[in-house]
Amino acid sequence: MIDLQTIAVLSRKEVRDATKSRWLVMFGIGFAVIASALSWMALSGLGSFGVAGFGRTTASMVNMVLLIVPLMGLTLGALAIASERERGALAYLMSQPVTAFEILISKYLGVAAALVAALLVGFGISGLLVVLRGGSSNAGDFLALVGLTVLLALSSLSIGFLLSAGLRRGATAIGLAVFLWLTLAFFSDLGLMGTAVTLDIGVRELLLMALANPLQVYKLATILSIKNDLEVLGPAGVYAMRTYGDALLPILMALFVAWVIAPLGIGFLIFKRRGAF
Amino acid sequence: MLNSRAGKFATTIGTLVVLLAIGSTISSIRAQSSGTIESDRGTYASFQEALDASLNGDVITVTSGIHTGNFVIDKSISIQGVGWPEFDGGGSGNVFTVEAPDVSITGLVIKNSGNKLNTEDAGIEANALGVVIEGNRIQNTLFGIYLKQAPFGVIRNNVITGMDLEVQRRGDGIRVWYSSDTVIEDNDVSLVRDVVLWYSERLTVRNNNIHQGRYGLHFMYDDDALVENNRLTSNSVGAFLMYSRRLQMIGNVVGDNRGPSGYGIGLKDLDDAYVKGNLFADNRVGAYVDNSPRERDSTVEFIDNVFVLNDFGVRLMPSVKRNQYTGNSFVDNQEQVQVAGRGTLKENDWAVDGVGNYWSDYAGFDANNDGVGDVIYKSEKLFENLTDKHPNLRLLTFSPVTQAVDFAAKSFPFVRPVPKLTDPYPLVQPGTVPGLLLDEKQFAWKTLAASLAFVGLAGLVARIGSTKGDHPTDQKEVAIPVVPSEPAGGNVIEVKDLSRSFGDVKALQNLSFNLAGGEGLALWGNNGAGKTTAIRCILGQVSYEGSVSICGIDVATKGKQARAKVGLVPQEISFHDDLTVIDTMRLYTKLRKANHNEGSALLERLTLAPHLSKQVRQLSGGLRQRLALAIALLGDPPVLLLDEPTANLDAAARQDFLALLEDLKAEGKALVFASHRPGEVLRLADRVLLLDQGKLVAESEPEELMTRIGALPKMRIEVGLSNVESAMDALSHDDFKTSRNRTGVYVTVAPGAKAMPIKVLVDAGIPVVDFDLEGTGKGDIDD
Repeated sequence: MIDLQTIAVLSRKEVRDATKSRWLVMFGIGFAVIASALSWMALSGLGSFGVAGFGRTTASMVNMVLLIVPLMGLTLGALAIASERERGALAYLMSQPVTAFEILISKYLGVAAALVAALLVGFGISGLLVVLRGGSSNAGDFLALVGLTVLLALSSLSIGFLLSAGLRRGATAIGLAVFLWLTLAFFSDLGLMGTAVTLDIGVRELLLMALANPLQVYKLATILSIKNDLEVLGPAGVYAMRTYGDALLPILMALFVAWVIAPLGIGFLIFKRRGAF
Repeated sequence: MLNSRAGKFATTIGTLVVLLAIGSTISSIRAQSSGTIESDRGTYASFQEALDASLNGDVITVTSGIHTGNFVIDKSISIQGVGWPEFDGGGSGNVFTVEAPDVSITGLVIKNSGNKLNTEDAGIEANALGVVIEGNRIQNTLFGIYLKQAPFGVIRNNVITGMDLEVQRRGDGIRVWYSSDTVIEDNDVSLVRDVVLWYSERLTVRNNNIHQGRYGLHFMYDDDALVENNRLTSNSVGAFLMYSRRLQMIGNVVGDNRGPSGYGIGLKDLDDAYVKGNLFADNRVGAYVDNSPRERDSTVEFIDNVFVLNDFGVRLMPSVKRNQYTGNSFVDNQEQVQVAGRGTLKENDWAVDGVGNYWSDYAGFDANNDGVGDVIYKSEKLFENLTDKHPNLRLLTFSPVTQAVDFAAKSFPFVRPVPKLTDPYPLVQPGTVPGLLLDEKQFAWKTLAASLAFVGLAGLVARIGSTKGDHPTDQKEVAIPVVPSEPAGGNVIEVKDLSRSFGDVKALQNLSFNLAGGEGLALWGNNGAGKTTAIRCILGQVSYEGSVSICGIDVATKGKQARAKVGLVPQEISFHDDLTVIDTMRLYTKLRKANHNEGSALLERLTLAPHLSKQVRQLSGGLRQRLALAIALLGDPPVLLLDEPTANLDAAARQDFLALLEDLKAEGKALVFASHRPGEVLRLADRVLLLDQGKLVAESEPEELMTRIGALPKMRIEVGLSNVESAMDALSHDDFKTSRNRTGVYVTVAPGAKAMPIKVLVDAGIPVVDFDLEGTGKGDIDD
């Protein structure tokens, strides 16, 4: 029996802890500054052509989000359990009348709320800048970008929790999180690039391999939501559109949701087995 | 009554029928209306009559009305509409077929041609010289205006809207076929297939707005055409220009053309094309160049154009040569210039007469402020080169790896690609052209609202995370219930065959014990004996073999319920150091679902009330343990588990804390505690479990164990040789453990009762000459 009141109490405590976390504050400020700077720069110099606005901002935002948001989610997730385990706080908490599931889900909800709030501040400020500087903007595109970025943050957080569930030291967790971030953001794409060039693999295989990376899922879903096609991604994008048609976006969303739920689920099993020590 | 209702119903129906009849009649009259038709020959009842009666040079003025039919104009006349008369083709053939030269058609609404592509049904089909078609509204026709071998025509200021069909089933908005010297200007053409201009020379296409079609303009074999100041937007291709010479394309706005091929303009087999001052914005490819120029002594010139936010600014086939680019601005295209395949663009000029182009990705500088960068612009992005050769890799566009690859290429010369193009005189400021406004710019209220909502939501989350709430001491205090949850005497803890292993190491083996309310049980042993493991098992924090139940609740299966019956005081509390005492208490009050007043009362009882606003990190060790005890007592659990609870306390704090625990025990709490302090054990425990390497070595009363391990001090009492025997008898009678020592006795004494042996001897009338206390070295028993 899941005790919602306990989850609410613990989640609130986690939100409080997370909002005081120097990692989150650092990332949040960084995200807000970069998002705002991108919006500002995107609007400068293009107004005379009449094509300034969120389209340009979106492109740079997608790139920036792919770089920063997974790092935020992974590190915050990695710290969530391991550091408390290291301090002994988790053992004390688990001596209370709460279950492992309640603790894990509360931690996730709390950290997720704080993380999403940090992202919303960044997006909010950047959106205000775009609007107040007179840039044209499609609210639907803006919401799609924000919504998918939130999903990316949640999936990164889930993966971070998965890392954290089995670790006892915060430093180890952070190290692994950064390594995983490098893998998702760079190494896997480099590998994909090398494989594609050397083995000359087809678009189908390339697409499927890419979709094993939640960052690529985010990218495809965002571009598809905003531009309504993936031609910009070349033959693989065209292949995806023609093969899956209208089902593509639901497929991508399902993959995304899976990337949120699966790591968290596996993380829970590890956490339950490992416990507080 | 019934008849009355029936009558009203009949009246209503009748009224409706009459109204419908009147409406139908009015509609019929309108459909058949011929308006007013006047010509130089007189006034006519129908347009066909006027047409039949007309002679060359006549003007037929049609004032409003609807004229259905397929009209053939075989005289050089002018047809002028006033009040937008409608000419309806009835869904078949051409609405107008012009077979005489110098016909003028103006001011008409022309609609509903046939929809057969094989017969090329059109709003107006002209087969004669010098036809002027001006200021008409042509709607729902397969082809709008079709000049078939009709040179010197003028198509001006018409609004042409095609049929609502799939694009491949549509006709062309304007089709000019073997009709040289035609002027097409100021028209608005939408929802058609193409504007086709074939086999016609010296065309002028000016100020037209062509949108939402397939090919905005489709040129073939049209030499010396001028395409000027048009807007070609939201088509599949803005303009496909093929097999022509000396085409001039000047000042056009070409945007949002993103169909399957998605070119702003496509140049194929063009010679001496002159493309100047156009804006190419937000197309898939701004300009596509294939085999242009095709002739050895001709060129293609791109001058002062702006390519902005296209996926590809310019795409050139590898074989393209003799293109000249000067004064153009390449602004934030995903790829500024693309080679479609393997090859270089070295036989094209990226600067003419010392004037290059503006490149938004130019990283040079202009020290002398002459508007030209002092460093050559080289397009040498490795990722672009890779995608040009392996288009599949474009899947990775927007990924951070693209920047990483380009950065690596810049940093490490051995992976630097051969430059795709080199501009020796890059401009440092972009040029300007007429702006493109794809949509009317409106203040983005929705985005503003969303942005504000986002900031507001974030604020809400921050507020949720704040610790403002009810103060536990806000309400009137009540005393803590002193009656335990379980009646004293009944077992509140039952442990049977408890075992726990870590790999091959057996941390606990077959531990069994029961404990009733009001009892104290000490777990005694060295580090690694299994004390802490036992406590973790009792809390259900680790898996184990055997069984543990608290108040009859099985810990393994109902850990949460069982833990509600236990309060833990750990050796070193790991609270959230930045929380205040009151916030910490508030958190655990909710978590343990304790009574609101209970928390306040506990804070008072444990003398924490003066410290409510202090952060936990500011508390002394003694106060932190008191806070831990306060939390442990929330919910009035019958069992307290304590793991070395006084290990980090000074002597005074330890005494205070032990006194508290004694009180709680007296109130009926069952205490299970791990300790290595004899004083603690003797004061709190009724029984002691001696553990060694996970095994229960012995279970005994505290004094017995302390004595066994030599943990109790001995007192030597000098009574004189003659009194030794009687002294030993008197002390043994009062359960003191004694031994002889020449003229005195040794007595083992408990803490807090050191005077008792002396009192016994005095009461027995045995004189005490002297006494001496000998320590054990086993612990701080005197604390």
